[in-house]
Amino acid sequence: MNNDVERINATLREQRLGWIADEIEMTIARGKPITKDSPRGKPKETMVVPLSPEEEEEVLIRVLRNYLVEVEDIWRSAEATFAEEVSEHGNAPIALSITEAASDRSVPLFDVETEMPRRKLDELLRQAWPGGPEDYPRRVIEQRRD
Amino acid sequence: MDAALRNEIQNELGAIGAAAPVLLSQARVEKLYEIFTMSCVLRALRSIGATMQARDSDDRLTANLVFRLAPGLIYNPASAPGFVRVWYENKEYELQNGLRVKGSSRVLHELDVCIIDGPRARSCRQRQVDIDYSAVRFLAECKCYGDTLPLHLGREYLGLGSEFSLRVKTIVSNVESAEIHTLIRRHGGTTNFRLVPTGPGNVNMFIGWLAKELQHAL
Repeated sequence: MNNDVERINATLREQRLGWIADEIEMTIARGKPITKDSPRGKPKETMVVPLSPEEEEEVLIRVLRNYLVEVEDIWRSAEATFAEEVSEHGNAPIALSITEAASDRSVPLFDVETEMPRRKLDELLRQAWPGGPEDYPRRVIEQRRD
Repeated sequence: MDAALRNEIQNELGAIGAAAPVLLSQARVEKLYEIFTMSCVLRALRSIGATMQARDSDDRLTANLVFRLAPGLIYNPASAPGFVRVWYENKEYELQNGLRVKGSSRVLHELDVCIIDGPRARSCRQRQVDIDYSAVRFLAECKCYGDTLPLHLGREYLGLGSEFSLRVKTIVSNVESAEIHTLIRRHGGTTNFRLVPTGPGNVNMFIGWLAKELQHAL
């Protein structure tokens, strides 16, 4: 596996984010399907090939962005929509919380605002994108696959 | 990758990981995504003129909507999540998350996000019985992933869909999957991928599609 992917996965495991490292490894291990040329008139054939080192880095960067940058945006958006759309009890804004299976104890989500480190990480990932920073919005944020 | 750039990325991972305990487990991240999907359903409902109210697991008015990491039974307040009561054209519904519902085979399945008939739901709570597929008007299977979705999720969704033969159902995800899209379209199903707040075009398309479908289904 790509050396950078291995090192960043090691950091994820140190930070107790091993499930993210596992997903990166499994995605890379699955490889990618390609279509092979076949004689005229025959249906196209497919096969699975390993990812190149550059493609492994692309997987790493997409996974890091989708989890570490975007998940908080997803949550803040949901909170805002619930507060706006659902009628409240005694005019209090609707709060959202998550508990374990059969407990009233809330699960901690975000201890402090992570806006700054998330935006910084997004910029670093953009700089690291193998296709160049200009290609990052289209291929990572919009997730267009050519 | 440049070594200095990699070091900086590693430092930021530490800063974000320490401040966001939600990232410590995949189950928590998936739950956040289900709630986001639910918020898109709220917007679709509002756009067709529905009114909504937050209720707790015991069906009382609440200002704090509590969701649970594991699926719940509608008649058991200790395991059931909070929900949103919906009124649309003089009929009552419930928008639920993580609810266990009996499919056509009589086996219980967890529905990530669903809309069910209100009077049927209330009756099930009173009689302490599971709610079944015939009360479901909409379901969404939600998948939050880092890169692309593994194909088995598409196969699982097809299986779930055959247990709930209703008009409005979909699989939604924060990422794309061309393979799963092809698989599900081949079987007449609907996918809504890359549904995230940073992609308002896809969100608006999903809300528009859902609003139109709900006008027929509710």
